Amino acid sequence: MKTTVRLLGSALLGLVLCLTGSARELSSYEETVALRPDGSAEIRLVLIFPDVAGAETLIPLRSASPQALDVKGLEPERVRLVENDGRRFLALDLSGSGPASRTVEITFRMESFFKAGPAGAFGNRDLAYRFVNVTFDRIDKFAAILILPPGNVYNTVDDFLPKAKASGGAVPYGFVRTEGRDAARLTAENLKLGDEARFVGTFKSGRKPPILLWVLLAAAVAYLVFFRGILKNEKNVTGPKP
Amino acid sequence: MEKEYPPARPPDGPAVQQAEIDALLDLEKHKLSTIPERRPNTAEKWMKYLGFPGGLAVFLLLYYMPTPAGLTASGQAVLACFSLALIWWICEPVPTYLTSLILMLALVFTNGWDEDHVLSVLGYDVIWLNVLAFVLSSILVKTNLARRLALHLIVRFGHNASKMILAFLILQLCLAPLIPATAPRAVMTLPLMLVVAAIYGSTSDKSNAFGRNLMLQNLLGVNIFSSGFMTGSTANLIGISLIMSLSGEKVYYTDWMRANLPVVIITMGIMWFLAPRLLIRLKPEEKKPVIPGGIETLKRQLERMGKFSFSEKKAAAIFGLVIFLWVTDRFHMQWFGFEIDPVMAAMAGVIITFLPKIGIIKWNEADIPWHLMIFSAGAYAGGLALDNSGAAKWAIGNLFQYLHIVKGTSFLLVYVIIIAVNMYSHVFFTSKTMRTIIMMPMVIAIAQQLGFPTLSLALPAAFTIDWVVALPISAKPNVILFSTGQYSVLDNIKYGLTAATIGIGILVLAGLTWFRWLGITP
Repeated sequence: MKTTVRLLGSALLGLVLCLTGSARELSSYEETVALRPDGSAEIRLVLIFPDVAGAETLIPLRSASPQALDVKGLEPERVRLVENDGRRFLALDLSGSGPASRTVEITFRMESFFKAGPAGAFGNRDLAYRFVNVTFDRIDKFAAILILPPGNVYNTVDDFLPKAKASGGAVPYGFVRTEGRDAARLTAENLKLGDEARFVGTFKSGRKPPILLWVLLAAAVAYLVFFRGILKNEKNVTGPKP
Repeated sequence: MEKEYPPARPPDGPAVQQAEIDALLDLEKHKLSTIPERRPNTAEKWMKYLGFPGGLAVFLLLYYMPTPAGLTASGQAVLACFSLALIWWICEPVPTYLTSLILMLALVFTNGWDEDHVLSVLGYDVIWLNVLAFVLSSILVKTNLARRLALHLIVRFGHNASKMILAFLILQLCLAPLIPATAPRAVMTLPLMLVVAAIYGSTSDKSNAFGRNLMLQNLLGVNIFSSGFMTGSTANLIGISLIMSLSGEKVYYTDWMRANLPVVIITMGIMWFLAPRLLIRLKPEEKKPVIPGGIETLKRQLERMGKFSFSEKKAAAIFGLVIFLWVTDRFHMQWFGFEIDPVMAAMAGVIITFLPKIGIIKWNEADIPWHLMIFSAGAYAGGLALDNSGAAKWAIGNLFQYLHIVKGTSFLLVYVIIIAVNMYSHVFFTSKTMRTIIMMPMVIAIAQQLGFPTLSLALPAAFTIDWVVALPISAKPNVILFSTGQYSVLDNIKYGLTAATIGIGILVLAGLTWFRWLGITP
């Protein structure tokens, strides 16, 4: 809940900042979130700008204390961290001359992307990803890839945005295997200012306790031994059928 | 020319005859809520014996294998649970309602679907419709209206079994365009089927080949005739709206009917002719009513019933009101400002039925097979969980990938694969709507990807939507007819898969000829 409030807060703040600052179009926004067993995540953002004209662009970071922050595709003096109400933004100065389109890659690490403590019922862990477009007039193509810690699998999808356009329309997510790890890929097109992309679900360890295996195998063998009378006796022991 | 056979037994004295006839036609003695005992044959015994460990083995295999890419853990659990249940429903090592309960428990315990969702299935409209339908059916039995109508039917057509079954099929064909919901059609005709089956010596306690054929032919008729009309079921309309929204192609009512009604009638004609001769063979003594004295006795029996009693008229009025609401659903908005769906229409009828003084029966007289509701609830829970977890979509998507349909594959091969996959996939679904929503976009995508006209694959695929005939859990009318206890799951599979396979053959032939002339296939 706290995370949600924080995220929405940062979204609103970004929206305000954006309205007072620069607004531009983005050809592509791709965010890869590789989760670690301790709950932290390595995040990689790849932004493709159609042109470099315009003022400073604020990219909201998911963490107030991003670690190992690195930006590629832009000179270091054109990048600075901005803090507002405990939230960090990366201010990218894209003004001046440059190539017709530019790809900027931002990587950083953050703590507590998901709760790493004891898992919930059935070993499930909650996972929530939200992206609100607070910076750009329009993002042509959006993609988020959420890679689970090794040995984990997605269990349920509880909520997602954008919604399928019609009953039977395609859902905006799919599951893939990336380097042996389970990943969800959320995609959207034409995200306008204030639009949201969301993926909320659960994941769990891919290992299953073997107890059920042994119990059911024993039940199968016991049935074959104790119910063999079915083949001989007219009055079967399992009772009638509807 | 069918051979004339003498009545099963020589006529006895009039008093004895009358008592026997009354006993035979007294459906109160063959209540649907009482589970009949059936003695399994040798094959069924082996299925029972091996089905239990077989189901568990499949469950363990699917549950413990590494989660395949693209599938969630809950989807994997649901697939494992549903496969177990499917094997047990077919083999019946435990009663079908018990399998449903086990499935519901397994879904929750394996984290396939949460408890709230699983338990809520018992409150779904399909279950309500079943309960209400059985109450309505009870008034026809209680007032003897069912007996009167069945006697009329049998005196007119019942000289031999084939004609009798054909009369029911024609009735189902006439009802299909009038009542777009299949379950009400099954409910309306169920009491008639029961009385006619009893006259031919088939009851839930002791069913014979006639009863099995009659019920299963009606099962085919109720479902497959829906396919002849675009408005035959809601799923057809969903299929058409998907075609129109995803491809922009427009299909009119007459386009659908002109193309598919001949396919449906030919298939049903073949099934009517072949099934009682090859699948569930009618013995000579089962081809005639078992009433001593034959049709003449039944004629006298009908005359003895005299004029319509007041309670019969009341039952007819209540049933008529419900049917009227079912038939006129497209005008409800205009008349009432809202639409009365089949469940609410049935509920209105049931309320009148139970009203003190005005009504016809009391609660204790309503014959509601609750074991069937539990069976249905489990089946629907499994089907919905398959859809909800994405497992159904994953399985179908993988199947198409496995079949390796790529650009350059001949249209005929793609057409056959699409028809076959769509037709047989109903075994793994409990809802036509869900199946349509999952399958149709895939078919449209394949057609567009391979460069074939969308309608050439999507429309014939839509024609298979209502062919939900292989299992008692495949559709609502199947569940209702299964409650009669006249046939086994295995009988249903035999009949259903044969009809589906013949349907594929006819659709393929139509694709090469009839559909081509109509401009549907290239």
